[in-house]
Amino acid sequence: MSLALSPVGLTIAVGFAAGLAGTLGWMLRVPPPAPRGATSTLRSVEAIRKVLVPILDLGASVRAVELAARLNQGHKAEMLIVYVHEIPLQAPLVMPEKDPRIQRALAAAAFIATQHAIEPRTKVNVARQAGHRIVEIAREEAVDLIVMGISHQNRPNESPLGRVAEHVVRNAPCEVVVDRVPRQKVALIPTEVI
Amino acid sequence: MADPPTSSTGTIGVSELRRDVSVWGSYMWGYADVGADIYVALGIVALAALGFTPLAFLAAGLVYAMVGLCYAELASAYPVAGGGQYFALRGLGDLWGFVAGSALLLDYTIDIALFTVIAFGYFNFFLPFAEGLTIHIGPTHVHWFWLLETLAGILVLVWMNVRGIKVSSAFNNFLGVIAIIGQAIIVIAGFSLVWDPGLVVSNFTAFPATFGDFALGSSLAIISFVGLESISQVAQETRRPATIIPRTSIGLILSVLLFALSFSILAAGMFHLGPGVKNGFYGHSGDPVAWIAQHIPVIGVVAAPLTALIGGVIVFISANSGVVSASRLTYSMSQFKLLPLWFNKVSKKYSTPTRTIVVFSGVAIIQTLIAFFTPGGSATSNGAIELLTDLYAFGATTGYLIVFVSLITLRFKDPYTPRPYHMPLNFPLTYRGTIIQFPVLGVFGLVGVAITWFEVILTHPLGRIAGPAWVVLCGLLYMLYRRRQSLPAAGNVPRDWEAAQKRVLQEAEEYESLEAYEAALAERDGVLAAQP
Repeated sequence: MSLALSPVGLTIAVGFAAGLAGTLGWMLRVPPPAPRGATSTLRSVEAIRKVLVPILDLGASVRAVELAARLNQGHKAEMLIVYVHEIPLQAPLVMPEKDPRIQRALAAAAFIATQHAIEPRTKVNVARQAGHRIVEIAREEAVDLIVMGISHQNRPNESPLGRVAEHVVRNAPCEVVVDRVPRQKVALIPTEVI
Repeated sequence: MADPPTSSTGTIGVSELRRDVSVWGSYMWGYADVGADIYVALGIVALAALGFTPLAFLAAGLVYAMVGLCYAELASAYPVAGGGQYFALRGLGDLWGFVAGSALLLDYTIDIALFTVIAFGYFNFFLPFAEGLTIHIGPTHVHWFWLLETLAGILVLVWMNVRGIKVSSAFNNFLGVIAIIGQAIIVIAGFSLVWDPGLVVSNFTAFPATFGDFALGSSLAIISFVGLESISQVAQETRRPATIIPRTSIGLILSVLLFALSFSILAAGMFHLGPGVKNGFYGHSGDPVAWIAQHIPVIGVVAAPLTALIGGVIVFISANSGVVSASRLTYSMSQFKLLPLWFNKVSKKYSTPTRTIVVFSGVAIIQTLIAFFTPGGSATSNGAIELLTDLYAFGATTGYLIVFVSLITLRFKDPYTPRPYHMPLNFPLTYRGTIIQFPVLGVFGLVGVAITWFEVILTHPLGRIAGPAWVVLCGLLYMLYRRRQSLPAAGNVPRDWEAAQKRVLQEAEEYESLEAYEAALAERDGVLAAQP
């Protein structure tokens, strides 16, 4: 047969060579092996299906929503935001009517969650002791993870975590992440500004 | 004498085989088997499918791709020796596991015999005197020199495989690289220097195949893809099988399809593909690739010897993969008491299943002798070779058919075993409270292979008798063995598959799959415990 150069033939030849090289190159690039235990750790975090973020104030607690949303990125876990309104023993245990402070905190928390494409469930609870109520909610709702934000200030003779977080860490039936916001950052978070 | 007793799990998962096969080695075991087929098939497919030859390869390639994806899923989920036999055992039970095993065993022993014969046929291109070294024994025209070469070739393969997978894997890897480069040079040079797209169109319009011709051509082309399952046979010796096997299976499917389609399109652009003498492959159906290479300008001078060398090499390594697959298959079958445990013995020195290598290579030697002493012309055109080819097709399609049924069954029976690779196109179903991914593409594959199986039965007169006869004969021996061992002939030996699966994954260091499996079992047990 005589020599017959064809642009289509040359194109197919180049395509064949590229296809073969690409196929073999892809095949030979094997991902590194997973060490024993690494994948179960990944899976245990991926298995979190319900996250509770208790809100106690507008500062560190609301910041915990941002942390929880970032922890949850891509996992599609349900987020439950509960404002726990602590009422002293002397006062009647009734739900406050349209407390602007509560409304503002929940609105801020919900806004942060929606920025991460999460539609949170929000509710308000009253309690004599916030820590006890948070643990109860975690049990009732079968929560997998509690994410709490606490400020740096402690009362005298209190543990470093504070009264509420201390109780939750000790008694919660699930994983607990406590974010203790450092002093420098506390100044940047609006707390009591209404 | 009864076999020694074993635990309830038998020896499932306890591997004495070394994990020495790398990603390239795994690919080459498959390529060694499948890559040789184009050297045999191109000419006969072109003579059957005429101007539609590339379409026949495309149609066959689609079924082949589904078989490949099926094996990729099962071999990565169950990385143990045995391949199709093990999958059938898990999915359908002991008897069907044995039927699949005996069909595949038929394939592998014939693979050793047939491909060693053909390999030395190619090598004899360099020994022109060999053609005249014949002797007449009654009505038989025996090529005694060729026969001795073939027997020597099989003995070399036995020696290499007894020495260990590392030796023969290195052999495969080296020769496979040469074969791939050589084939690629022919394709690239052919398309660049001589291919005429106008001739492709002309062949397509002037010589269209009838429906019957196309069916015959595509069934021949499907048979030319046999051998991909070799990857699963060495799964128990493959490092990180759950990671590597899906990659090598997909790599093999794509590269073999690329070669098959390229060669068929190249042929359609170089020769007229009409009926009979109007076909460029008329008289050259036995050496189609060499025929193409001879007609390529510039490289044509060296193309004929180069192609003969490459053809011989690739066909010989195909025979080598037959030895590996037969020995691993029978090793696996003996582990599960489908064959006597005598076959389960692994050499202490080389860690290889020596007995199975020797015995089933011996079967291949007997098949070779039958081929050479059967009355007819040369060893490549007599009735015995036709018989071997028919049996090859029957064994492969029977095995594939059972494997597809096993794939579908295992999705229901064992949804907990992690599948690092899933066949695409799945439909979620709830079965007994568990979500099952029903394999739609698996059903298409089953239908495609079933059509091919019927074509083989209908169009291969020797295969439709000798193939089932082999399976029935093996079945009788199986029943006898099980009866002597006081095991259920048609039923199953109880086994702890879950413990076995964990052990297999642990041995393979596939921790990701192991942890996923443990988590799935824990979740299942939790659900069961919660039920009243």
